[in-house]
Amino acid sequence: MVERIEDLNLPNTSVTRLIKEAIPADVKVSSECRIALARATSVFVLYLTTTATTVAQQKNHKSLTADHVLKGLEEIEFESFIQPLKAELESFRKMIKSRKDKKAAKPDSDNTVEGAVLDLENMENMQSS
Amino acid sequence: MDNDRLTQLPMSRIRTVMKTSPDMGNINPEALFLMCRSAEMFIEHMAKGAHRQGKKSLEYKDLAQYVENDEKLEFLLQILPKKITVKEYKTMMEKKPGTDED
Repeated sequence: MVERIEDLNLPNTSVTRLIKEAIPADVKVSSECRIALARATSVFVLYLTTTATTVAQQKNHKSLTADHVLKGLEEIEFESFIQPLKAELESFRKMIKSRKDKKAAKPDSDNTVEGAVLDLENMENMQSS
Repeated sequence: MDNDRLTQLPMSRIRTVMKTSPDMGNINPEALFLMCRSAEMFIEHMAKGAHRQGKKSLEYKDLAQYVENDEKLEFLLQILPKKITVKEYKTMMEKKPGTDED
């Protein structure tokens, strides 16, 4: 596994926001709890990644895809995540597609929001299936 | 509702974590997105699950207890161990070997 898991920190503000979205507004979250949960989440990501990678290898696939991640979730018994994620995946695909179409129609597109999406599009173009 | 971000956790950071996994090859953008959202759902799942109804606080010990109670969180037992006092530890060490509490 990882030698220094402390180096793989998730941003404190994001973690805190996500915690607060799940519990009543007046609940006080200790910082020890926040830090521990951030660490646990990194471990979860690694756990799911390893499982999904195994799924991909068993199918002789070279790239990790959405399907592998969804199957991985089933294998680690987080099935309740699967349906909501499938719906989000559809929205994500539609959004990527509409951005691609926009980009094709207008070569000098504004690189306003979602630099992350543009990076993803580049990643997608770099992938050979 | 129009988000100017796809996810709350930065995908670049999630990608960094994923890359530490052995034999990690290419990561499809969709897979990265799902992984990131899974992590977010995980945080919410843990917070909601660990929070004792009606209590005004969420503390480390709530997380540790939740991990112990849920079988699928077994992978977290060493990451979020329950804390014991020195006295409890000493008592534990004094127990005869081979004591099986199951």
